[in-house]
Amino acid sequence: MIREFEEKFGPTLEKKVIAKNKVLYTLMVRREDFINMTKYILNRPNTRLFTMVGMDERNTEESFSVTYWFLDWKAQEVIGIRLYVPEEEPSFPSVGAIHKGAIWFEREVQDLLGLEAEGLPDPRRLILPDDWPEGVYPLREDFQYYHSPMGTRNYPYREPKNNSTVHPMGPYHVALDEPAHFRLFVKGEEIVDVDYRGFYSHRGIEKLARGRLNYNQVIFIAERVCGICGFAHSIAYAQAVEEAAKIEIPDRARYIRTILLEIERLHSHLLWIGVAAHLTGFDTGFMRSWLIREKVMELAERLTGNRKTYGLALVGGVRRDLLDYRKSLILETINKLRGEVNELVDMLLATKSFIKRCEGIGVLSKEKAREWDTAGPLARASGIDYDTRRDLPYAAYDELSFNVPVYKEGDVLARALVRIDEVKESISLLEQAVDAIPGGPVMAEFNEIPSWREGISAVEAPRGENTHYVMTGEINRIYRWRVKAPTYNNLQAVSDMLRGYTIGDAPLIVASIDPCYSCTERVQVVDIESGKAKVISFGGMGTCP
Amino acid sequence: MELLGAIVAPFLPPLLDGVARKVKALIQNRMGPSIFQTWYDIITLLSMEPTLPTGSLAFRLAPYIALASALCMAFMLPYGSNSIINFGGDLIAFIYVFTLFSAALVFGALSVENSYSHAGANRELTLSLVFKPLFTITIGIFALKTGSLSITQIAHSISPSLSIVGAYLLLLYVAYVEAGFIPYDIAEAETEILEGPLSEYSGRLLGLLKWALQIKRFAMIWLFASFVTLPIAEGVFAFVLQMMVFLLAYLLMVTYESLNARYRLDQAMNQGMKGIVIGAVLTIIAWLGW
Amino acid sequence: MLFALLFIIASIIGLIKREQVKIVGLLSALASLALVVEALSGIDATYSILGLEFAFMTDTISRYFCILVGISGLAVSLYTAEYMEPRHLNLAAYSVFILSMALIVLSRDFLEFIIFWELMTIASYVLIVTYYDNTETKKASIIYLVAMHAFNTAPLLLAIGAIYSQFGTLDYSTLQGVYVPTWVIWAFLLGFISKAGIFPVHFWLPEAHPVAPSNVSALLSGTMLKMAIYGMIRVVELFPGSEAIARTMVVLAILTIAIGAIMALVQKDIKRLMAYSSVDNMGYLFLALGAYIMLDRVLKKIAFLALLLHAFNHLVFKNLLFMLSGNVLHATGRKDLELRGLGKKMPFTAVMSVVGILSVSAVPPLNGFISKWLIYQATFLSKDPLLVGGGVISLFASALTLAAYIKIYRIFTGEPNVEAHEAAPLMLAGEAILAFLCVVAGIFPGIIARIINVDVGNPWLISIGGATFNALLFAGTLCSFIIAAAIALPTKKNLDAPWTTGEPVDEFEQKPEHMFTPIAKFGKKLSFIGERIEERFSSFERWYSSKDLGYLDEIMFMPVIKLIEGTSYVIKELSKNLNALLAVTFLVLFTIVLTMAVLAGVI
Repeated sequence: MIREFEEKFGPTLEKKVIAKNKVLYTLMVRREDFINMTKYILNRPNTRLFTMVGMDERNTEESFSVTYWFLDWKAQEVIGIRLYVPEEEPSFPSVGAIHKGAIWFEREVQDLLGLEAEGLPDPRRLILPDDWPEGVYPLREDFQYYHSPMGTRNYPYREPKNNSTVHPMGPYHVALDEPAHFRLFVKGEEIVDVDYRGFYSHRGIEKLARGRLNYNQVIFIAERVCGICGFAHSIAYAQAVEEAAKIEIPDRARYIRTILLEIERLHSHLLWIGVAAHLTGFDTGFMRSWLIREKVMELAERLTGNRKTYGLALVGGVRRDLLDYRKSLILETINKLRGEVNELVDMLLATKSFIKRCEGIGVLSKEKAREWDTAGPLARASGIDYDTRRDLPYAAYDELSFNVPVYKEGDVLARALVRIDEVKESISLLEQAVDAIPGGPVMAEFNEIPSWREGISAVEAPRGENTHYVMTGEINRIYRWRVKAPTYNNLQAVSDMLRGYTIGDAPLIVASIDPCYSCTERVQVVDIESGKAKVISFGGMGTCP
Repeated sequence: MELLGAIVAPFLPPLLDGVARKVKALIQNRMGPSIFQTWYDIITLLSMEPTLPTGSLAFRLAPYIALASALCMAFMLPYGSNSIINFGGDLIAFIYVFTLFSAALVFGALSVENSYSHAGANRELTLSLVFKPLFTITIGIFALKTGSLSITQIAHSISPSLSIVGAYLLLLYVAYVEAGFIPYDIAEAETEILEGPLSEYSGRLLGLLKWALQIKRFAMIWLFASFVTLPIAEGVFAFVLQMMVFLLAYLLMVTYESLNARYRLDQAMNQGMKGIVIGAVLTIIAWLGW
Repeated sequence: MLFALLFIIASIIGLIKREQVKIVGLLSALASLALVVEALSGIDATYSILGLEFAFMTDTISRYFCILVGISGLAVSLYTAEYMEPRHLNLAAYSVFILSMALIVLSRDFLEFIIFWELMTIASYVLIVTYYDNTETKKASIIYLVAMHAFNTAPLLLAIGAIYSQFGTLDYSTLQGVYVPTWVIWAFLLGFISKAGIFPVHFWLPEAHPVAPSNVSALLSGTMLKMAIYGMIRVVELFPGSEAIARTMVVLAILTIAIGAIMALVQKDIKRLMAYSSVDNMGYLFLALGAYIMLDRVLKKIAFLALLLHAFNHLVFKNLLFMLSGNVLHATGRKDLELRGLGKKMPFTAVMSVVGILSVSAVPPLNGFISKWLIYQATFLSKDPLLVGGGVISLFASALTLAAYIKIYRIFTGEPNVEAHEAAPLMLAGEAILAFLCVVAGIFPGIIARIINVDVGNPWLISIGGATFNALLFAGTLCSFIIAAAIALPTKKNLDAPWTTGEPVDEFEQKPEHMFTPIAKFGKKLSFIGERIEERFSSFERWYSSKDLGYLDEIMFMPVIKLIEGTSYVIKELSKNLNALLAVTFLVLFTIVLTMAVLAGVI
């Protein structure tokens, strides 16, 4: 893809190579070309919008910048296109008008940096709370992280049309682990439209990381972006920095990272199976699957000292080694798990009432899935064959063999089957990794991390691809860190998935994308209490169970 | 003997629900709460003042009417050989008191502006539109065969035949559905519509409603147990046998409940329609004399 | 016959002074009261007018129906005194309407019967076209007039004519127990079911009842339909050989029950919903009548009691419900189901609506339950699969009725979206009488049974055929439970707002047309089918008239068809001018009466 792109558009671009297959192009002249380039890339098969980063580069480049990163997963190449946006004229052509998956990225940049996307279909606020005043942009360099400006509360929800009424699945609902507001427009029991309002747990992590924490402190914040998939975030961040600084991590560290990533995937998928069963009223399935998950949590505790937030990643390797006698512990647990998981799956698939609740519900077609750039089991259940472990290999995955389950139906049952198959694959991956783990050091030797380097890296978290982008800065600090969680894309697809189904199915459909709101909503908000009676602290920790 | 029923009917059902929770917990490999837990919950709820979302009188009155009708239903059933409120044709009155119960719940739910309550009321009424006829067909078969519409009289004069066996099975099915066990607890679904009609109730009113629901469940299954036991026993022995059959049926239902997920409204209605077709066939069989 | 005098005075006042609604209403109320009192003590009078002998006498059944007409007339007249808007002749027609119904019931031979029957139809027609400038009303009134005469008066005339030609007399006492040809009974059946609104001739009912003013709808739905039942009972009592029609009657009744209930569920207009519900209830009455004919001994008595009791109950609660809808229409100007929050400003109407809704859904301990209970006894114990099927369908329809009326309850809940005010005291008084009767008849049904001389043992209970329903004990038990619970566990008023899960929501309710979607879909299919049938008929008619048919056909049928076409054209032209139409109608009536008089050999 890179070669063809260069042939077509080369002359107007300045090129910068980040890594072996990753290239960054900066657009110097002719912004009109930008949309053509985007269209060209997105029209090719197997491409997706990887992430989009808005940066305040007024200190170094005298303007803001907006970078769109695209991935071709069959060619395993990443292209970034950077557009400079001057302060006097803060607007740029919107990709969201031609590709729906870019809409939230552009709304975010509008909220946090004040850069307007021309032609954006839905220009409402995304991230900032209702009473944040206009014209104050948190992610700009001149905004101090401890400010808390006041405003008046007002959010422009859409109105119900065609004689439908509003049925809120509101911040407080039994089916939602974390606060989110799905405004369902219903006619009786049938849903005709959906409006989403999220970002209740927005915490300001990217601003915190800017200029206040050093590289290893950021990694611990990264782990706390999410409650379930925290380790994946920390690894993605570490990989991005390692790419920027050109650090090669030792083999043993790569294998340890792989083992822990797979353990995380196991416990996350087992949790999801339990929650799906609970939402359809099948409590026995819920209890059984969490009983199995308990074994995985205990294993994690024996290996790392923590059940959930392992705290083991560092830039350049891992913090602690896995002792040899623990290997047998892992193998023992996996064997027990294999039998129990098979039993659980048999019981679930034999419960006709559960299957009937899941079959044919919440169907997302392949075209829509591509439009919204969905990732993870959601995309794989709709027929998109993309798995970051295989297509952009990292850690030890290029030396292990595994299958990627893909189903075409796109309903809740397909997503459940994808996750169940991935559990089985994880078990087999763990066996291979434990077998093949080499000896050696667990931490690479390196000196300073140079400044003004960029790195972009993705990790397959249980929910999909986690993409982290890093620009290193001076005095051993980060200049810009951009986190994109898979639920960011998946949540946008929920409105298409909910239309036409009943309100009884809505909790199940929302849960089937395995939403992790904490991951999604990580960026900026005020997190210090003001002197007034209003407390706007949403807790700094991820609130996933 | 009947007065024993006056004690059993109001006070036994929450205890039974506690037993059911314990059984479910054992199936799921965990300890579960104590068998008195449902009683503790109800007593705690009854001691709290409710917060009312609307000043409507119907909202405040509905739980009392629901409790009263559930108790009436229970009192119309035989404990031993006779029932407390006893009169010919009381099977029809039983169905209609049940309707009063549903109506009270629905009136209460519709008097508050909350789309969760409305969704619950809607589901409750739609379900009763399908399952009441099924109940009626079952009663029709019994009436056709025994020539009476009184619960005690039918129970005493049932004689086995093909259609009666089919009617028993249908009655078991109807008792299961109307008792609100898991495949069919659609109207009070917790995870989907925040407990439907109950969602705006709190404190004392919620406690009364939960108690009324337990008593209704008890009444339906006790009806089935009476029909099974009374043809073959009398007096105190009949009461003991009723209790045993009731407990057996209850435990079987709870076990079946833990192995199932909840139905959607249209799926439950399809099942109900199939039941009605089977019932019609059984009625024809009964008329032909078998 | 004091009541007749009072009615005639009221009618004359209505004719001369067309604005005196209050006087006419109160006089009619007084007259109805007089009717009840006189009927209880028995009426036996004979008058000679224009050389014709008119005899009026009460026997068990006619005394009962007199009392029904009287109660209904009393309540509705009180209501009318405040409600009705006087227009053209409707004030005069009002008293004539009630008077004619009373006289139908009291008449002693078929001649009087048919004369007052036609008078009743004409009077009701005049009342229906009160708002004649409304397009809906025009269409409905034409359907009503044509349907009534084609399917109702015509078969009745044929049947009566046949009886006369065969036996030479039309007197009831002479005709008792005489054998008539079966087709005569069929003709009577056709005539009466079309008046009662049984499938397939029910189509005029949902058109005519909603367009009339509410007090008239109350009388139409509550009382006029009972005249058909009375007529049918009379025919069945007089002539043996009614077993032939019993099965058909039951089948049609079952279909009516089902169709009426399902169609009621999908309506968006309060009065149309209630009109379909009347169709449904008439189905119950005919089911009970069919059961009465088909069964014997104890079950026959039960069916008879059920029939008469349900006639009373339906009269009471349907009148009540229509008058309440009139309250709503009067206060807000709307009668659709989108209204909300009327309970705040109209508390009495709300409470009485709950009583009415619970009665129509046959929830104990109100009156609807007793009659339904008796119907179930009669049908389920009959060992006849058709009747048992009827019983099952009745229960289904009962549940559907509750669901349909719950939609009406919703107009009283929530936040108001229109301006409203409570109805005038006279209107409320009329309704209160009926609501009171609903409750009393539910708890002491034995009183009604006494009036028709059915032996129910102790009048405080209903004990018939081994089945005893102690309504008093039942109601007492229920109330004592409620009071005990309320005293032991009272609730303080602790107000807050409904919970919208954390974000503000405006339209947080379920619209009534989205309730019960699976069943409603079926109902919509039914009405779709009805429209398709209508389309087929009209397309058939178009095809027929476009064909050039054979010679024989031309001679035999074309003249008749041309005549009907011509008449309908004339009527259409006339309907543009109401007075001319009324004049023509009276002319027609006069011609009929003249013809009959000629037939009777008087002139």
